[in-house]
Amino acid sequence: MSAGSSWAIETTGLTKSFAGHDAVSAVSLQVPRGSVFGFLGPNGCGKTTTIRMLLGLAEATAGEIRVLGHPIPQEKESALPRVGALVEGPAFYPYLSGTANLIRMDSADRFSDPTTRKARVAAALDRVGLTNAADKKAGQYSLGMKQRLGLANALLKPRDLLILDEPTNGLDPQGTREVRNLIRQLATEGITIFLSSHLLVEIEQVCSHAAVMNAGELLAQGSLEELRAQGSTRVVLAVDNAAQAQAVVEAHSGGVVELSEGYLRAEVPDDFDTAALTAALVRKSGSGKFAWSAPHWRITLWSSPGRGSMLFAKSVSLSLMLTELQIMFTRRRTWAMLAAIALIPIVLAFAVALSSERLAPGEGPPFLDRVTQNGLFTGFTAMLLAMPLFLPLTISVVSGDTIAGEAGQGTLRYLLIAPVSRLRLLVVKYLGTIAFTLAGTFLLMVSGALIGALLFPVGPVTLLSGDVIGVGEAVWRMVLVASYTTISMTGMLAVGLFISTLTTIPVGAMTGVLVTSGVSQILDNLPQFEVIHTWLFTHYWLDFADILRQPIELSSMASNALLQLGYVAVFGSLAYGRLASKDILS
Amino acid sequence: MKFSRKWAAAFVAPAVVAGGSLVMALPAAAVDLPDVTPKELLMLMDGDVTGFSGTLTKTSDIGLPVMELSSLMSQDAVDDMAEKMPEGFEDFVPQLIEQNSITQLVELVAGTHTMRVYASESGARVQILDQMSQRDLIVTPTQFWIYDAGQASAVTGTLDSGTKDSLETAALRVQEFAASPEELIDALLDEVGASSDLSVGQDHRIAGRTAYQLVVEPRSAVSLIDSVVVSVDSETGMALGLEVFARGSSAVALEIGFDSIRFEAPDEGLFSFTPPPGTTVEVWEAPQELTDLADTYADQEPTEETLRALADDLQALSGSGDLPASSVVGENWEAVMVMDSLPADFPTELLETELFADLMAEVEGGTAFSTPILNILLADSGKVYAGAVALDHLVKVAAE
Repeated sequence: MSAGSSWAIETTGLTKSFAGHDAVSAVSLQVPRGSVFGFLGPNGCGKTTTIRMLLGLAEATAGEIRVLGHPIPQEKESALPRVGALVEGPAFYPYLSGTANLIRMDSADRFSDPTTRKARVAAALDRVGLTNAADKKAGQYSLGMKQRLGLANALLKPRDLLILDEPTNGLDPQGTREVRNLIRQLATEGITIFLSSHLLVEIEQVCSHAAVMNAGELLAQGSLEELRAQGSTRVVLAVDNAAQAQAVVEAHSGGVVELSEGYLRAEVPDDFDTAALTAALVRKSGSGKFAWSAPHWRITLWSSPGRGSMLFAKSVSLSLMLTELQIMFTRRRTWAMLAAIALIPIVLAFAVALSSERLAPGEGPPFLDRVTQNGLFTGFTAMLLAMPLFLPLTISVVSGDTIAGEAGQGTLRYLLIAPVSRLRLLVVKYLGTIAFTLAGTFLLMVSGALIGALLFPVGPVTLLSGDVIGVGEAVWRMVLVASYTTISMTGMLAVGLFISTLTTIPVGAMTGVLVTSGVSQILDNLPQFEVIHTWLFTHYWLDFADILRQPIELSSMASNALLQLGYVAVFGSLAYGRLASKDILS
Repeated sequence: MKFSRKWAAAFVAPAVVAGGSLVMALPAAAVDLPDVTPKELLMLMDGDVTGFSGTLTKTSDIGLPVMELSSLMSQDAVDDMAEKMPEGFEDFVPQLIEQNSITQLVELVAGTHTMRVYASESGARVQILDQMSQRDLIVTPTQFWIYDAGQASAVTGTLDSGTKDSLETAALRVQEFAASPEELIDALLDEVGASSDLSVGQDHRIAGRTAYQLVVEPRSAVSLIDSVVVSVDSETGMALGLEVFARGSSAVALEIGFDSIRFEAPDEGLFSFTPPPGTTVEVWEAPQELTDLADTYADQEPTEETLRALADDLQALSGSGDLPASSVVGENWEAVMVMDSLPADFPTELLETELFADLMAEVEGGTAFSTPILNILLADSGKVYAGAVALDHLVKVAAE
């Protein structure tokens, strides 16, 4: 049981400004434990921004937040495991199945028990009626199924609080009914539900308490009884065209009490028909956005039984890393890129084999003249060709996609409220890109050796120093070259990770990363910039040739490793600084 | 408050990286070795190093354009480029110059190179680590190999037993002649001291070892060389580095030095070389005149007269091979080499390229090619004058 506050959510003077404009202005919410709390307001009134702050996705400009007794964002890692949320619609990895998506989200939560993970995921899917579609890719789900999958994600663990932002948005009547039934059912289990909506009817059907937002300000809040006790029944309307709406409301209620920018407040008789007024408004001008009133609701009070979160050791769990690898290697894009990488030596080998001219020693790109004599050189030559552009291109795609991709598809917010610490997420995303690079470089060497062995004679390999080594030793050198290339890319991957935190548009980040590698290579070739050459992350890229000398030259490898480590340290911490202080608005 | 905490790592990490690299760049604690005189230093340099392996870096800043001996461009590619280049951009088409010993020499002098050197009593091996390629020179008492991985070509030569014996006898005689190393060094000091100031410079650290500095400053007013600084290992006396400073510039014009060195005899296997399959091997034969010369002088006492005669005979040989006849005018730092013509395979087209235009100047009696440490005058008469001396001195020599 959490700290003994009677409020599930409590905010004091909560304010959020964007460029000088208050999106949320001094909102002091009090959501009682055990209530079904309706958070009503038109689109764009600051509901979602408020919810983002409650979940620690965005930082408040001013004011305080306590969720389940914990101050946010200071103690969000204690509060969030007991909070399930659906923010701004569901978001998933379209190429993963429903089950795999939920496993990914649950793995992000360091406090969730990996031994019960599969059972809990199955239970959550069952609860929202998705058992039959569990193995289907989320991208193939209908809108309603996605919404239900989003709810299943919120229900992965026993929760004390559910924050549901417009849970019926975009659903057909059948889907809407199902979701509302689910909410009612959850409410009977004693879970506090904070439900935002722009639809009065939704609030009327399921809520015990309510608050009304308009233009960033809290207009009213409390239980329905309290609101009713204020005297006569009131209706509050937010409208586009106040003057036009005024006439309609006057005709229905007999007099406008208050008229201010964007909304009307009217005293109405007890038996006032809100639905008729809304219909009249819509009929009249299409201007009725929503109406809120305190009609005749049954008010039930539930007691919260309280559920303690299961705490697990803060060990770095492998499960999130495993889901990261699953994401990386389930995507068709990853396989397309790996296939293209594997194709480089194949195309090269065929081009050489089919060419009628035999290259003289020293002619053409380095090593190319050797390929016909020894197929094992195909891998080295292909690596040389892939190094300046193709490999950086694929690296740009995976590293630019890391954070920007998650942000763009919305899964970033769900990972963060799972909750995963931002540092841990960065590390896992980064390791994922390294895994891709390893796969790419080794695949290139393997594919090169295989096609070379198929098309050309294979035998002892001549090193740059004129020494000849056996095939076994040559394979060992290939492993070294692939490893060296992977290490050479770690700096660029870190740069990509940082750029990826700057935007929510993956393509933008990918382009940015590719440009940095291009600029770095150009600078490295301009003698005027010689002073900075050894500081460029591309500087040692082609020095993998040092592995083909006898004895192997280690100094460039050491310099390269040190340089890349410097890039990882600098850009890794820049990425952390940026992600940690960033408001997740996507 | 919150802002600065989250960005703390982002500020700390670059600071640590910058600090770390600064510490690495800064010289370690100042070196203070026992004081020595130039003579003592030369005595120290006479010490015996039986074997070592190390990595050398050579850089030069003498205004020579760095020639990228790129193997990625073929004549076809260049022709194609020339055809497609829009009007007015012709200068951007690279020029291919056929490689020969002279262009390779220019490339060796002008560029930056990393070399690995292995040496022991049974041989020596130098590896020039080119990008994606390598050149090896292997020398043993009986044979040498030059291997170029990029061209897959090798040159080898063998000393026949007769020549070998002659050389060994000559070496023995020289040792006898120099009764003690000290006498030899005294002679050297006299010789050098006549034209230069010798001093011991700053104690310092090079290739992770403590070293003395031997500073040689030419006294000649016409010399282009301001000073030559040799780093001498304080323990073994081996020269670990050489810096050449040109007059009127504080930057090093030419620098070669060890980055790392280990005084252990390297693996013997490094000195045996078998050309890999597919290598074009050229066998070098010593010109008969040279072997004859070696035979002649092997039996003679190495007195001053015989040495002078040897020098004259060697100079007489110079006109006979590929190189034009040459002679030397002036002594020591003022020496000027005079050749009757440019070497036959000199790539004259090289001098006509844009790259070299800045280095060429019309002077009285010919065209001058100037670098901070070397001037060459291509006289109208066809003769070539070269020396590390001021240009007007060259012009004066040519006019005489």
